Amino acid sequence: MASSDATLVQRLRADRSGDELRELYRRYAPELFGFATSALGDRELAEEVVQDVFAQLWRHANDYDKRRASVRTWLYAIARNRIIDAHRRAAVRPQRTDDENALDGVAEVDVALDQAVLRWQVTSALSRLSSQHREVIRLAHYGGLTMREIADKTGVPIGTVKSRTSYALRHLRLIFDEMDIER
Amino acid sequence: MSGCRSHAEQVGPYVLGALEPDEMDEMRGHLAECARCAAEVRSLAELPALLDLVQADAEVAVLSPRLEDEVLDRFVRERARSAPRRRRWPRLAIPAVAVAALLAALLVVIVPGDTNTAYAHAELWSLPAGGGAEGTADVAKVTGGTRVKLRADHLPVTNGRTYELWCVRNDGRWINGGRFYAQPDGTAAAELTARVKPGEYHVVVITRRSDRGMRGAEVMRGKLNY
Repeated sequence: MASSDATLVQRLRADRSGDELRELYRRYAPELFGFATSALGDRELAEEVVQDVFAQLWRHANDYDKRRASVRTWLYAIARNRIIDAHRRAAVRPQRTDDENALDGVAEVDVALDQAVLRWQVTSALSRLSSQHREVIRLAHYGGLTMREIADKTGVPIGTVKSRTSYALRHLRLIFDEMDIER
Repeated sequence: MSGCRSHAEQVGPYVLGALEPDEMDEMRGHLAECARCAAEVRSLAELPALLDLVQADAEVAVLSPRLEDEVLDRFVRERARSAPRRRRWPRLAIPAVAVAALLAALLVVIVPGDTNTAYAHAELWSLPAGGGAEGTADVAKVTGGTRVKLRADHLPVTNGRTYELWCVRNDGRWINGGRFYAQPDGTAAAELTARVKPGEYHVVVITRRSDRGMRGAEVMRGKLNY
């Protein structure tokens, strides 16, 4: 049976093999990386954030109190601070003007980071749909096509396009519910 | 689906505003009368706003497998540094140790060979991207891995001065030993720790820094003589 997150963190201080850290990394690094990439718009900076999060994790494993927060919440809190640090460092360098998602001032950081989490979750949810479901959402929502236009474009009967669209949204709703997403 | 036989398949397209105008009007009339469809529309109503947060072609950022190695290597390096120091030896033992150390030093002078730390050595030779660089790598065992003491000269510095050490395991897997920086004159001296056990690798490679998950160009390479 897989160990709980809290158990892995407790074992981390005595861990010499790296096994506990590797397990925690595999559980959380992908989503933390998605979050950091979404917040920073820079893959290399996002990798540095992920590295720093796990360095903080093992350095401060003794400070973790599972009554106060889940491991996931704790890791996101560390990542959030690291992203803010990265943003501050970037602020002293010439601004990139092509990144509309870049954080735009300390006062807006919290809102921007919440949006970054949400963007990553939506992207992740879309990736879990079947290609057919993604396609109808892409054509209808992002492409602005009606059901009839999609049927004409794809050669799929209009009734199938309509039911496929309804199933796609229903499935997306379920994935969002699993992720506990709401606006 | 809503369970409404007549309009269930219209719910999704209606939420996305993707019905023809007359169908939208007809659906609006239906929603005023059908509680099932109305509930279904409410449950899906927030989805368009969520979809607006991302681009149509947004892709999930995929982590480079290399990053896992780097995180674990960093862990091993910090663990090695924070390992408990050896217990102080009793005062009376010190003179004996000093005599033993002196004898050992004499032996090293008389019988040339490995020191008591480095157990393998590699001469590093320049590859085409190295522009004539050369160096040495001396390998010592540390807790959880091996420490590589690196010396290099004539490293190219015109297109960046960040380099990475890699230990190529006998099974072909490349283990990252971390980054180091060349001086403006092309020299470098660094001690890096790789999460690979003694004897597990025989080849050391210096590359340019990795970029977007791609290993940088190979600059130097050498074979360890154990």
